Amino acid sequence: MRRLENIVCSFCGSLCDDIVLEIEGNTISKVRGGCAISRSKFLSPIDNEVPLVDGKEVDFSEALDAAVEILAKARHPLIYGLSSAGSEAQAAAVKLGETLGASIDSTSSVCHGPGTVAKQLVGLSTCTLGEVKNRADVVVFWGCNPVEAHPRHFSRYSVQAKGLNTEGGRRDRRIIVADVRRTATAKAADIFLQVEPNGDFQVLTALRAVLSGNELRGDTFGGISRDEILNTSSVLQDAEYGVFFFGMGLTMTRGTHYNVQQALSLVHDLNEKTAFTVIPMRGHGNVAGAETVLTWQTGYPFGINFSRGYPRYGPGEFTVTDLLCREEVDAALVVASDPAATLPARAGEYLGKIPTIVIDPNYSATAKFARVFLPSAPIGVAASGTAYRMDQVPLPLKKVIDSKYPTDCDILLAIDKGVVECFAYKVALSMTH
Amino acid sequence: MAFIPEIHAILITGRTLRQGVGVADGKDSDVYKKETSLVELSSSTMEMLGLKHGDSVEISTDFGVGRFLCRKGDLPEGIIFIPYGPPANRLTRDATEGSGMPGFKGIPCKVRRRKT
Amino acid sequence: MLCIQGGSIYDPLNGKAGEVGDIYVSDGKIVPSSSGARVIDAKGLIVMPGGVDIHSHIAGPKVNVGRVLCPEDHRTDPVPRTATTRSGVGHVVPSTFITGHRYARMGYTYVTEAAAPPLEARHVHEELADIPIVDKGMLVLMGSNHFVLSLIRDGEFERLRDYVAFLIRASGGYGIKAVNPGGGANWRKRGNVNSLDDEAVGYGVTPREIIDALIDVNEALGLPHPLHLHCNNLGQPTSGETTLETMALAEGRRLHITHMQFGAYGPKKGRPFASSARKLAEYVNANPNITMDVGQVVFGPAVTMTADAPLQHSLHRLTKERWVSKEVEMETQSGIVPLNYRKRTYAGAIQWIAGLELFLTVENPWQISLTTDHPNGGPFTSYPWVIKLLMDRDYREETAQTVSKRALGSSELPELTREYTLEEIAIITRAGPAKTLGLANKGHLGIGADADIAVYRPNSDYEAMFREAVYVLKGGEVVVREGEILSETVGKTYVADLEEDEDIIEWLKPKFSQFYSIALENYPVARDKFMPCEVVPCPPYISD
Ligand code: SF4
Ligand SMILES: [Zn+2]
Repeated sequence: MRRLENIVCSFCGSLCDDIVLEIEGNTISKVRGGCAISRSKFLSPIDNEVPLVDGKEVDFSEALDAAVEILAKARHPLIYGLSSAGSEAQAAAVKLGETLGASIDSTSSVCHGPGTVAKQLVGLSTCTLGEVKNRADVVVFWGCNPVEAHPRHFSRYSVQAKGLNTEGGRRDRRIIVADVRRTATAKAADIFLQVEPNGDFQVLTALRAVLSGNELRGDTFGGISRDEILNTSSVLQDAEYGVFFFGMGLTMTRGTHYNVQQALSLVHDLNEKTAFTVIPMRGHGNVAGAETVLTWQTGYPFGINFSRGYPRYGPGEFTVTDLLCREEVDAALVVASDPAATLPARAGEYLGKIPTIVIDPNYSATAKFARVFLPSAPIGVAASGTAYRMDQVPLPLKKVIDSKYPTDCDILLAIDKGVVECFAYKVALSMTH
Repeated sequence: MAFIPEIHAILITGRTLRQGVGVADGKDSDVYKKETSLVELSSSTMEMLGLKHGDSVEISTDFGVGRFLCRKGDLPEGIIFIPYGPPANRLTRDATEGSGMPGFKGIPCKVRRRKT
Repeated sequence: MLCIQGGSIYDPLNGKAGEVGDIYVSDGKIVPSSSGARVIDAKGLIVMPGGVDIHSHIAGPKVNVGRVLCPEDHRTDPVPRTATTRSGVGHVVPSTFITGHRYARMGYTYVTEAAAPPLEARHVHEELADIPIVDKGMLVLMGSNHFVLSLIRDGEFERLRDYVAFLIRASGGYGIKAVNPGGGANWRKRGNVNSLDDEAVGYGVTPREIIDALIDVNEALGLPHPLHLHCNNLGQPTSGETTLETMALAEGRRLHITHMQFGAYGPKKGRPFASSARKLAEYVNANPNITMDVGQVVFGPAVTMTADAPLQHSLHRLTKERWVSKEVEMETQSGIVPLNYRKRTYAGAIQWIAGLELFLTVENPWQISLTTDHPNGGPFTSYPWVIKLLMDRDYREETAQTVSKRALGSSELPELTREYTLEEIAIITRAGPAKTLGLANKGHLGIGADADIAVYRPNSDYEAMFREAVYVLKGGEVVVREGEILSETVGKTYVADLEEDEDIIEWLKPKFSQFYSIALENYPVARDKFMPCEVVPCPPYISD
């Protein structure tokens, strides 16, 4: 039996790096330290899938060839997903996207993309999670539910965590939760703001108005009473070091990036009075990495198109939901994500109408109707790489057991090579005629 | 009685712990399938529709219709909640209004009890 | 084997200033003459060592946020892929591939990334690995690090030295960078330090003590490059005085003051500030232990990004521009604000003038390096324009006539008649920075040096001349021909080779798990993971 310590769990954006694994032979037999999601992830058997073309089992190389053929023929392919891949695979996907003249988008566009657009409009005052642990005495969770989505966030970073100036842990913190529902996170709050559906912008605006010394006219704002607004605003101002986490409750509701822009501006305003930072509560393990890698290679964080040979940026234009619902792409390569289970039905269904290739360690809802399914070695289990935590801190993902399948990075590079050869062959052919 | 009551509500979709465990276990797992075909309703909504835990309801939006089993949730009046998953995706807004983001939260919907 | 034949060679370190001669290259190095080499005809051309940038921001978390922040800027400058090169975007904060291309096209072959937080060093290395062609080194931020400040307070010099060595090793760094020392501690409470003797709250140490200790540590470790310092009070009318005081506290020890222009202002009634470049230059002229780079301001768009977070917050308040700020646990902080330097405004013109005054009044070119503090003062792609301003007095005077009259009138720029020679340009853009960085095989063309070579076509328009090299050799391979990239070779990362010390890790362990949000085991960057590495030896420092 091998015992490995300080392993990173890459299931959610918390990237807890204190997991202890016990390994017998080539199997993970015990997981210590992780949450329920983490245990499920590490303990689920690997290499359970087989390469498929049109639902029939084939050799890996045959499936690879089929993928190359589909992509080389496509006039406007889409590469999508990437949020559960390592940064190396994300870079390989960009390379392939460039070769193909494809559109490339990550799950960012359907989670924190609007937050990134808001950042492009006003900026963002932020910090790493260790600062939250060491300093934060007021913590806001707005439209996010870490108790269920990031189960160890409270204990490692944001609520019970003890650090430099927060030796009392939970006792040293005031917790504010704003949500439409009284979530499990809300139940841990000192102040709970039950916002009306689509009322976030109003509440945030009212808070900003109070902060800048304006008098509030009206009794409720987005479902929150005037007194609650006044009280909340004074708690925010009285913070020694405040941190504002936000999630899909802001990015997915009416107003999308305007909501986030208002939240980021509220934090800007608070910095005139005290120290305040904001962290997007990123869901998938390496969705932050997808934006990071795409940006350093192309200049843009998501929603990118290479059809002109150089990157162009277009949220609403080159983003996955739009491309699929408008039926603009004629082939799709899905990497480590499951759009059929996560996008609006119409977008998911269109993937069944075009040749779709799925690279994933697990058979997914999308794989069910994909033309080609290429199983890969799961990252952080049977493949190494880098992942970026929700606060952009990069962490090493380790390979702890062996898979019979290649990594998604190697598969992407092999497809790229195949497509380049295909294109070269076509050019050669056209020259001989 | 032939009249089946129907109410108007706002649909929120979102993550739950069991849904997360389901994703980690695999989308074919029972826990995932079960969790994603549930709808949470407030107790007053359940009362209004004459529902008890585990009853089947039909939910429709401008974008689609689906059937869900109901459970009681701590929700304000007029709000219903469905965990992320393919069933919920039949009901969400697929237009992104130029933002790239579909409407996963805050969608007007109708809820009614299915005949048993 | 290659021979660059018959060019006019500018190799200041080896005393060559335009002599016609041949340079032989084999296995990536400069070698003695020999027969049978493939000839590159350089008759009538100028041959120089590859350019060396001593201070630039090209990779890592804050550079990347600068990229995210400016889609409107990228749109103006798309770069398509070619058969041999990757695509990307410019202009002010280019994507990684384009960063490599554009440095190489100008004949640059080594670039220093000037500010890396250890916790995010892995990110810096991942980006450096994606910058093709040029070699790179990375400086590690320490001026407000919790343990650095605590150890200085406790007077534990040896432990401080060992901890600094650990930080450089763990992050794959080349040297020590300190930014507004002590200011970061106070920024946690949205304050700052305003003089060398202000206290860093919670530590009871002053910038003076921090700088003094870090210079000593730097020398005790025998690092190839002196302490790389961004002074306190940068951008303020008090900055000139502070920079002077800071240089004085080095007391003869090596010290590199970076982007001195941003700290070369004095007070002026009714105005934000005036240039105090002359005073600083006089000090530099009298003190050979000081080296500096300029941080020249270039008119047009820029993105300011620095670990000087309080400075960035005040810039945001002043301009109302987008503001990104980040605090990295235990280590450092940063701020990012896009900016536009306008020649007609008094402040923009003074900044431009102060930089030129430094260039023209620091007498010994070995003490001064050309930088724009890319992208803070403007993009590195404007170096050729700066060279033209230095070499062509008529052009400089013409340009000066287009800037704020009030600013120009209050300065001594019109009286400065100096024109840089080609030899001096070769010093401030390659030989000098290489020497200051302690890169023994760079910045010159002597036997054994790296075959990093730039060949230019003489042109009375010096901007055109330096914008695109005729040939660039990197490690002996021709990578640029007539300004075009032939091959995206992989550059190396230069790291300082410091001894392992187990004791410091034992000391750090309990504190680390208490205060950091990751495990100590996941902190160091594995060297072999990212880049081919060039290890620069340092003398042993642990005496017992
Ligand atoms: S909280 Fe997230 S990262 Fe941490 S163990 Fe659970 S799933 Fe993994
Ligand atoms: Zn700098």
